[in-house]
Amino acid sequence: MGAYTVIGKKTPKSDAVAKVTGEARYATDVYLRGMLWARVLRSPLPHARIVRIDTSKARALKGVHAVLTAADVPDARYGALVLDMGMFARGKVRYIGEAVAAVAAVDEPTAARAVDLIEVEYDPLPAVFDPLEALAPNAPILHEALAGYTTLFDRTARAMQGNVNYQAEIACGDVEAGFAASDFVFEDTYQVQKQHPSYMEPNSTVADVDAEGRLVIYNTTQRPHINQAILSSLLGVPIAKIRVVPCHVGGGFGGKNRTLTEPTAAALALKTRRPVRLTFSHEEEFTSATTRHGGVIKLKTGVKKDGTLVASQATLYYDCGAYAPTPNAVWLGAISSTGPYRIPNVRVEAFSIYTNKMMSGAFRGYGAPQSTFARESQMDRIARELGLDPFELRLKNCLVEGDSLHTGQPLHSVQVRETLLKARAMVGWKGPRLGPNRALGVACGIFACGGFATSSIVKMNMDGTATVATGAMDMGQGLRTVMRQIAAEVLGLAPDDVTVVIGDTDLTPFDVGIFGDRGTHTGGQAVKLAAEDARDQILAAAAAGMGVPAGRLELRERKVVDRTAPERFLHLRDVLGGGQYKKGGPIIGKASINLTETAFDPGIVRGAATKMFSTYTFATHVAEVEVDPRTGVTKVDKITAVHDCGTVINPDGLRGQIIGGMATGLGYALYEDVIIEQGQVQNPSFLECRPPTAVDMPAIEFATVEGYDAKGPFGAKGVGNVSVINIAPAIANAVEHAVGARVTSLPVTPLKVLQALGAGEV
Amino acid sequence: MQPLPKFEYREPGSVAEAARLLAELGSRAKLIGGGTDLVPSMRQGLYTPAYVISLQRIADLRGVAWEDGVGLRIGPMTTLREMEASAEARARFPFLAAAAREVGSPQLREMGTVGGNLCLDTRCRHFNQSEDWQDCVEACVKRGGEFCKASPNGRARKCFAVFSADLATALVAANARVTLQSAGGARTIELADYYTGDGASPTAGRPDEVLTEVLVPSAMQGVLGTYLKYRMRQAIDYPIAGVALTLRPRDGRVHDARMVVGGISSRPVIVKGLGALLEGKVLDETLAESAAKLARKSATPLANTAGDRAHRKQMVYEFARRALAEAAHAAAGAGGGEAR
Repeated sequence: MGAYTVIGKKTPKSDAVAKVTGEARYATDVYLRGMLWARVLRSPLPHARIVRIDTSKARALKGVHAVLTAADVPDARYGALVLDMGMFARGKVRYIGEAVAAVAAVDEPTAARAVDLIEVEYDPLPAVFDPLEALAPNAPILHEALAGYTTLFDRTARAMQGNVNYQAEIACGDVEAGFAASDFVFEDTYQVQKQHPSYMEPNSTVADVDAEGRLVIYNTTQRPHINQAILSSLLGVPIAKIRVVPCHVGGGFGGKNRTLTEPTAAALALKTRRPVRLTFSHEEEFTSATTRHGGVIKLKTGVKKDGTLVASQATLYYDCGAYAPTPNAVWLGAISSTGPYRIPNVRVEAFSIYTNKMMSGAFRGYGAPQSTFARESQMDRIARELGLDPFELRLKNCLVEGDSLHTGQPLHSVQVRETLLKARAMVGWKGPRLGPNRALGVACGIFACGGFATSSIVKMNMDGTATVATGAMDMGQGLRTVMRQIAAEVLGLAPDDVTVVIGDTDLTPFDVGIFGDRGTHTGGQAVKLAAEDARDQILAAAAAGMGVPAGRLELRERKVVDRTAPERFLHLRDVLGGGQYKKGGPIIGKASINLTETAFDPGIVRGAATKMFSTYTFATHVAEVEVDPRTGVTKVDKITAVHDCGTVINPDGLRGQIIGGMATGLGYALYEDVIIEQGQVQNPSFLECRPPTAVDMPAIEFATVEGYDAKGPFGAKGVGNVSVINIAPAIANAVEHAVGARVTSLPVTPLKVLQALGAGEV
Repeated sequence: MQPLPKFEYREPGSVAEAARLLAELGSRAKLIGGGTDLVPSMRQGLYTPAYVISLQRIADLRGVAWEDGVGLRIGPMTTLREMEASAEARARFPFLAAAAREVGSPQLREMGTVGGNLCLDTRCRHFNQSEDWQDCVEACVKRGGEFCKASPNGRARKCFAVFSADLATALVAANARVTLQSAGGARTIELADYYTGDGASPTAGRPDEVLTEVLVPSAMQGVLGTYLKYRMRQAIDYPIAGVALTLRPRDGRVHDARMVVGGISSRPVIVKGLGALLEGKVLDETLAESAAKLARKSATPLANTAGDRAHRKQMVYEFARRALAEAAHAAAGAGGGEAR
């Protein structure tokens, strides 16, 4: 770690003013001449065979330019691990809200009328809504042809059978021997709900066909390059003929690590040769986008009398809905299911299970909030029953530098112990009880951070400024500003000297999408390496002119300076401008990396969805709550968060991430639920799904512990996911300490608290 | 966001002009105050009025004023923000200002009006859904179907949608009256009687009538009042149970007690027998307990809003108990009622 001029310094988000004033352009602001409006006809049934679709009346309506169904588009499927979903339902519908047909018309009301004119005859099929029922031998099968689907993971025995579309198995040590050697064995079942990402901006695409016949997509996304590849495969259009131009993203949180509106808008644009806009209504967001996976987690843990964890068996049943756009969440849930603890004997089985419900996908925390709720709730039960302090139990078992995870992955940059110690000091811990009905609850978390492929290009301009191109998207988390800081630090520039071109697939190199705490860590590392490549070229060019070996030169304050004699320098603009005119140019630095290169040991892990992650992030959260034992209402007064995120690049950005993570975690803990009855979402709105409001937010204290991750830029790791995953168990643990009510299902509603208290009337 | 259906917009400059328009257009028109209730409903396709008549330009309908011998006159176009900030309301009936403050969020109260809150449409999870959503199910009675799907066996032919206006619960407890004006004349009725209890048609106002005044009678001066609201989050959410209480402490005893339960039924429900139970008595814990049980008995929530019905019923009991405890405390003190 060195002394930095830009890294770790307060640097305002470069797009903050534009967003506050409304100048920033979002996908719904794109308005092209001759643009048509698209609307989607959706399934009213949870499971049915499509007998007949008649679009003739819709086509005949004045103002309608195109009507598409599965019959009009190539029979192609897409997905992350399991390629199971087409653009439209083909042959049958599998959930209420599934796309059956789409219309492009001159305006929105005409499109809506046309959709109403499409006649679909359905033959209803038995449906299944519960993931455990979907595992039963006689359960209705959603995807009869599942075994033949293309998959991108190492298939296990149970995967791709019945309604299981993905399965991971992790086994280390001997779990049965571990239980036999334990003094106590705890067995619990936990239940978690679906939660919507609650980004304010709905999914939206404007698709255009330009004068050369190229498809141009203006959208809101976390993964432009993957969108481009999916569009190519679904529509049979070469990648060179597709340009994805992401606009500012009005919140993503994982929910925009998706391709939902793009294919339909693109197919309609290709059909009509006109620009077509498809924007989801907020209701469609709650019925036809994706949520966090709900499910059931069974956890069995063996411990010694002194609290040493000996063995753990976890079974994760994650409900992925009717398609599995991201069963990777199940894999990540399996990884986080041990918590950040050393457990010598572990067995994890994790299932992604189809049900006739809206889809589950990526959402901040990405499979880990579920298993972390189970693990950290049970850790508190163990502490209570063994008479141990909750912090002590965690400190006794927490992972340390050099340990390996149950997956066999060796760990580096592990400061979970430090987060526990700092959090304990910050809250002035004297045990969980603070007074009548008031208590603290603690929970830890571990999350996989970084990896996969990304690239960056740094182009030096004649005046000494730099233009960075990256495919790694800024979804509002502030990545654009972080990239600026990283390039500026390497190139001896001020952040304002750096412009970041982000996402546009014509201008930026490949990135796999922003998820899993990889924006700053992995995307940022590529920018750093590309900037270093540019720096080395600049120094080499200057060395010749200055008659000094390049090794003695460095970049600072827009100059190339001789380190041994700082009065000898060249202005960067002279090196670059002169060079460019004389020799051609510009100087371009580039880097392509993949920080996920080592495969897991198949003797330990079966069904791995990825290779080994770059690193892991850790956090300890402490919630302070007051519970009213007569109403069951929980009020969270304060959350203290301590993060192990390596070097901090942008302190305000970090703060924003942590506060946002708390809001999501708080909603998950106490309020939010996507209630589905007979396959129909009962509360498809912000009003009824209830993400927390500003006044529901507790007081916030946060800190980081010193750490340095060797693979991240300047030692940085991520914070986006780990800031969410252990909020709910911290709150649930605090509730138990406050009033003695243990709630094992989320959200922790007043009714559940009263029931756990055994209140007579309710 | 769904687009609004097409309609014609009118902005009359006087009550008389508004009444004339209503006489002419009848049920083809909908009145709009702040629009915070009507506009989202129209976007969902729940209402498709051919005409929307705004009361925004009628200055007479706005303001809160005290008149000796008459009472507190509240113009229905007074925004909820103005109501909560009104010096007259805060000085004389602080619990009414406080109840206004419980509605929605600051942004919604900036737009929403007192009259709009009193005329709030009833809500139900079967009714307040879009047309697309409704296409998946049979229509409920409020949507023109045969049965109320929230009713215990799903076979009731009456609508049980919930009336969830915070201010209405408090104003009924305050014995407020409302004046309704049509082209043919004006009538004044008890606010309690303004509500029909029918979720499909919750108010007794005719399509040709404009609500022109809310009056809290001067006789209510000196009354102690409280409004307690239960909701999931601390802002935006509608009450899923609410309790308003007014009473007059004299010589350490309770007089003229009136309790109203809101957010449960299709109207604000006056707790029967509570006034008689408490009249002239010292409000001790045992008595408060009996009174709270009466409140609970009067609450018959259905599974048509957020929250569990049994829990909402229990919350009525709990809030009634708290409101009574607060009143007892205030009565024992200086006699001034500090509302929550």
